[in-house]
Amino acid sequence: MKPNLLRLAVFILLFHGTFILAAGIPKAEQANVIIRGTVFDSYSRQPMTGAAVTLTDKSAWAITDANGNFSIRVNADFPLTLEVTFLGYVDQTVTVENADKPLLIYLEEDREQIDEVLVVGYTRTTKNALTSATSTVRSGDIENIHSVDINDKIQGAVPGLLISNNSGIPGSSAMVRLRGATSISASNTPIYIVDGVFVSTGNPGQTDLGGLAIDPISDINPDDILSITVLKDASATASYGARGANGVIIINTKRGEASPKTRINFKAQLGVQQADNIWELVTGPEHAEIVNQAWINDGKDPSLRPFRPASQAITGYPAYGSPEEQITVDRLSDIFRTALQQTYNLSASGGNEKTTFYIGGEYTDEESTLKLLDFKRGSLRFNLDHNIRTNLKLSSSNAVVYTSRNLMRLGDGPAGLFQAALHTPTFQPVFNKDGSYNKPTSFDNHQAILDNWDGGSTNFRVTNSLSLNWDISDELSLKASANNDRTYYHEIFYYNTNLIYGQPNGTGVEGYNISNIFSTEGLLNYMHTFAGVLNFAGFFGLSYQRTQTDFAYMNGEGYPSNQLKRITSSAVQTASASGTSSALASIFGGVNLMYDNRYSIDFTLRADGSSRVGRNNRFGYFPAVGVSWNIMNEKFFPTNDYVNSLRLKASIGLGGNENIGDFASLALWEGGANYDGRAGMAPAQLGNPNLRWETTRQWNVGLTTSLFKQRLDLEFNYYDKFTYDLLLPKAVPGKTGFSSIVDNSGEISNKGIELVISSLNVSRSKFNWRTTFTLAHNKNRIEKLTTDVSGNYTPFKLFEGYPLYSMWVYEYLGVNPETGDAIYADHKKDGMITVDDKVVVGDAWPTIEGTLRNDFNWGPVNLDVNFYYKVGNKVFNYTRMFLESGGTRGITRSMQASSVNYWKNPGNTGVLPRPKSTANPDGSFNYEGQSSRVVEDGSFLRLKSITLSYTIPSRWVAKMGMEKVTLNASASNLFLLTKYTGPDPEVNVSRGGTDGLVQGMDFGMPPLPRSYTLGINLTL
Amino acid sequence: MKHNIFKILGLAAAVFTLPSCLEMLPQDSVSSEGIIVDVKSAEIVLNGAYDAMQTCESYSVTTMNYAGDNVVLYSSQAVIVPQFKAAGTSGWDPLNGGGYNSYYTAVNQLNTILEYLPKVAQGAAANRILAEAYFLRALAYFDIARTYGGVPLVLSPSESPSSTAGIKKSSYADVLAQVHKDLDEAVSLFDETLTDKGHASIWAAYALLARLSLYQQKYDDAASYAGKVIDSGRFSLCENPADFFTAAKSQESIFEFIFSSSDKLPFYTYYLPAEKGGRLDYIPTPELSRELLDPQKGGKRSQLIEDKGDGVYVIAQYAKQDGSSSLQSLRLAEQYLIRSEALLKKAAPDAAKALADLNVIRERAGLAPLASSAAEALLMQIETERRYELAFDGHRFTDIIRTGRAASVFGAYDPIFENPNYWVLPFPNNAILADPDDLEQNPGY
Repeated sequence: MKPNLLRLAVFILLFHGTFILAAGIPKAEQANVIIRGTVFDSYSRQPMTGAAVTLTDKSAWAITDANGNFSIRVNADFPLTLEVTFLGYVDQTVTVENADKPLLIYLEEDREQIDEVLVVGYTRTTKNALTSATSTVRSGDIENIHSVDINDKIQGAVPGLLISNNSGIPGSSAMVRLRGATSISASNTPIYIVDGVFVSTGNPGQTDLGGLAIDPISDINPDDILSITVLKDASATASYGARGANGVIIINTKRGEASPKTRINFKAQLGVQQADNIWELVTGPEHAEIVNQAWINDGKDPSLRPFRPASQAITGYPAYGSPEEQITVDRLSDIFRTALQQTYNLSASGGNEKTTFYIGGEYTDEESTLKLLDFKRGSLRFNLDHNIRTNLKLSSSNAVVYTSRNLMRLGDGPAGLFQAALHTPTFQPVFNKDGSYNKPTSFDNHQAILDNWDGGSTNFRVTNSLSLNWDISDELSLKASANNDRTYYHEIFYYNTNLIYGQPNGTGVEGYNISNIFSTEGLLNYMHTFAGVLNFAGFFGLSYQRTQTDFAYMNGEGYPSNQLKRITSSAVQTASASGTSSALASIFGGVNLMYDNRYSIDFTLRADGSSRVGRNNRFGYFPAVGVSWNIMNEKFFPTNDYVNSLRLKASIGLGGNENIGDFASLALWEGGANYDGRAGMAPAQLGNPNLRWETTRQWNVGLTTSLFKQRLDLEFNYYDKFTYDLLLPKAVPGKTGFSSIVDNSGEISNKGIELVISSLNVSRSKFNWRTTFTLAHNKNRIEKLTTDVSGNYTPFKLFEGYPLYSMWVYEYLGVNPETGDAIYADHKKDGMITVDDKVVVGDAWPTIEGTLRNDFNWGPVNLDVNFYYKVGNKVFNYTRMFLESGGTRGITRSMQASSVNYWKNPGNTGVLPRPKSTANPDGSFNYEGQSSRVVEDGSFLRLKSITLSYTIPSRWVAKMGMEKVTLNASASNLFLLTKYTGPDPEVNVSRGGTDGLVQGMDFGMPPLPRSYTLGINLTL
Repeated sequence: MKHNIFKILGLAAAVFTLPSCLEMLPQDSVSSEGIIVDVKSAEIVLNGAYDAMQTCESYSVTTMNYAGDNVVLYSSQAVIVPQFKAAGTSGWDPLNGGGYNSYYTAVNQLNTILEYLPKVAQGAAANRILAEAYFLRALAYFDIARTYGGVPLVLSPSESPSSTAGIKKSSYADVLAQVHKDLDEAVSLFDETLTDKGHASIWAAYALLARLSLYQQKYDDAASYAGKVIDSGRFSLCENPADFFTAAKSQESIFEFIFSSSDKLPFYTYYLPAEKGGRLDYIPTPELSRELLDPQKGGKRSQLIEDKGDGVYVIAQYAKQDGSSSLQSLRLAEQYLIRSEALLKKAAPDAAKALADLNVIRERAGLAPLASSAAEALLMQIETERRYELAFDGHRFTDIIRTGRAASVFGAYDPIFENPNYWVLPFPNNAILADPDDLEQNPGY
């Protein structure tokens, strides 16, 4: 029976679940009654998608939809017999007496049967034969989580995949790390493959938006997604070779199913968002007092203190009025709003045994709670599968997406709205007496920004794949595909004369980025069973990928008026344009052998040739081996009801990272070093022909089990990754005229565990309660660092023996109650606080993170409660460093309300140091910025989403001609439990793109909003 | 059948992955082999070197201004003379010293010209390029030495990371001697034409030799070189003290780095208040502002600063809103002050001529000429006039160090300056770490 089933499985696979049990076509003229029903798994009580329901005479049939529902139009010739089948389950025959009420059908899993065939990357395998660590998230798991970006939706759902939202801005980047970070200079972001297309993940933005980066993954409409599979260990990623070290995220979008009826789905969501828990700032009089106090403590002449009656002003020493005369302006309330969001999705899917299709259209409009930032997306997807012959199938997946954003600089920089409102002192009025904008500091006037800002981007993206699948025999198939992802990104900013960036006569910038990733693949799959017990599956493939990016950046200055905004109107125009390209050619293959459904072994090998690496090391080889042992199928294992499955697996292999810059290996001189209008050239880099890619060796052991009649499922993995040949800028003596060359020298390790426990706590016909708990732990460590590497911000320095994203600061011990001065740990014990006393006090990695999700179901009512937690991560609260600066930033920067709690009298404890900007006798500063005083515990528990949905009984909606109507209400971030003093411990300014060495720094980024959404989902 | 398919695919693979399809070349850079092949290509590299020097010198001036007692940070307004920290990783951070690596980037470009141009071209055009390259290398080494004291002398281009292995710090005197040698070479290669004050000329070389001689305490030479420039008749003081920076290439300018709205002065926004599009990091010390505004002290040099509207004075010299302010490297006013000081200090002092030179500067500032007085008092007056006249040209810090007055002038702000270790800046930490075998941190840091 097994070989037949295997063949069946292959057959199913080839037709992507669109197989037809029988050739019969319903005879419409005879049909006059509809039988409806739902098919469930008898253990989990989960609806089953793709179960075949067939009339015994084969005159009519249906496949269950995503909610397990089916409907068949039949002759009212009762009693009728239906046969319900699903691979891996015992066939069931149901006798139907009438069509009055929907049928509820429960299928039992067939433990004798072989399990379902899986496609994992290039491999076709079965669940029993799988040796690798992978996780899959299905559309149903993420549809209740409100976000425009799938990265946010799957946060916490895949243990080992750490996703950290950098801000509450929709469509902006997140930090994505699978099983830690393996690289210092190259990208740490996993590769994303959508329907076989390698999609671009780099920020296409040309203008520095501070901490804000565009996330190209937000070009994917989450509602088009069927499933997301994350490949984690070496056995799974080895077939991606030089790109696999950071993990692989495979996204499959929805496809049509052969069905007598075209399914139309409409979904609408409307919501509001609010930002709360924003910083509280000092009042004007408090600000003045602190600055005066610092002036006096600095030993300056008290009669010249900045805040004294205006009559006492003398040249060079302005007087800003006495403290009590100061006003208090609340700017933060001006810049946040209750933001609206709306999303509409309309899809149609269906087809016949020859051709199936899915068409999905979407429009999303989401405002940010911070004014001037918006995200809009319109997308259209068209997926088509056509059987040219029974053994030849053509498949195509296509998406056209248009995203439009209003953009504003965040994080650092004087032009940003958030920075302006946060850092402009509260005692400063918004307008001057003559009505002009008051700009007393280096920040722009927040009202001027609100009134005059004009900036945004559009991104037009076309993603296509075309593949031809030829089943040469039952056992051998060949697939050829061509894939392309093309992005046209355009951004435009215009700063008029009311803005500081627009001085003196207006400035405009425009950037273009056109990127293209083309890949083509040939893949041969073979499956054969020897002697009934030894299953062989093998694959062999070739691929070629070419990436080309072209970009242009233009700048115009000197505009005739604020109405003329494009660069062509400007007096002085500058532009630069360039491009870069890379290519990767590969051969890969693998075999899987499984004996008697008990022992399975996988071998995979990929050879990659890349244009990016040095001429002397152009080709790299990435092998992996994995084994699994299905203990349940051993004869010695007693048959019982407690343990329903038990498998052990292990793998080891290599993966690479070729994101090393396109031309890092070449010695180059570059142009653009112009002087006085004449073209010049300058040396750009020394060459290194020996450059290789970064290589990660990873091993993994895992255990999966299902207990108590499948009421409790458990999956556990332990991994150990070791990355060597890290590309590091090896410092060369500055006197050479170069600062560094790129060299393979560093080593990083990541070790961790991943745990998923899912349980069906209550399973009654009317009430189900399911719980999923995930937990991941990763220990990152730089094992070898031959050179001094620092992030964009001094506290983020790399040290051998410490993790990436470590925070290197002076250790703050509190305030000396006698003097009021700060005490720092003198680790060097020389009586002075010097740079040698700085220590690593923590890092941005959580000790553990994960989700706790509970799903309650009472018939038509469903409640989904999803918590996300992170424990043990540190946040460098850079915003607090600025806002709690003890008067050292004088009249130019605001302070937060906590600043008033400083040392005033001997004996004061638990207070901030006394305001002072001059050095203490030991050389330290009371308000030293690089201090553990502003390194905080960023642990939190967030109610990420809570969704209540109600499915209107089908007998009501059927009258309106609808199959299913669901109403839902959901809320995101309803509460946040944390000791962190800033608004949100998750926000993070990531400099240098999403892979910057600075992570875990809260620096002028708005918090994640709280949102409330109402939605309706109609199926026709 | 299966075997055939594998054979076909294997063959396809071999063709497919021919390394040739993996040879991608950049579109905006070229290989470094054979970069200088003729005068024209040398000129291109020279432009690149000006570009690099333009950046180095901007940062150097910013650093040196901030190091002295003429400029403070607007935010803290802590009275001058920062505590230098060697912690910096960015060589450009004024708090961390003056851009060590970047100077050598420029030097490497200049060395490339000096090494390869003589091999491929001779004649007047080649000589002019060589002369300018010698001049720029002299300027670079002079300013690195003013910042750090003794530094490694690299005089040939770097082809690999180990090209400079074993080159340790030369003494401060030896670096200045090399600067002199380069300037002598420049003088011998230049003709006397002065076509463009945005490029070096023989007059720029003389002017720099005058400055150098003052630092080398060769006062006869200083007076003589300054005299060559002053007496050439090619330069004259502007009518107002601020005119030298209001327009580029003024009559007073000897050599300046040219910036434009498409090639902006680095840091220009640091001098501009927000309403003019800047970030206002640096302002004059309130004390200096008061003195410049004093009609008896600063006179018309009050033009060097501007009230931003609320009683805070800002530096005007670098504050063109479109970033096109030039960086005055050498100008005539300094030559008068050099000659005045040199005439007083030389073996056979000439107090009358020294006084005359000083009064040229005072009269231009709208101040009454000084009557003759004792040499000591006159030298103090020269120091003060240099402080006002060259207030933001980056001279104040090393003037006080050079004349041995650091302990009393800067020591008043911070006793650390009584220790000669702190008369030079620390090398950036990353420069030390990148060159552990050869580069030692300056003592005391």
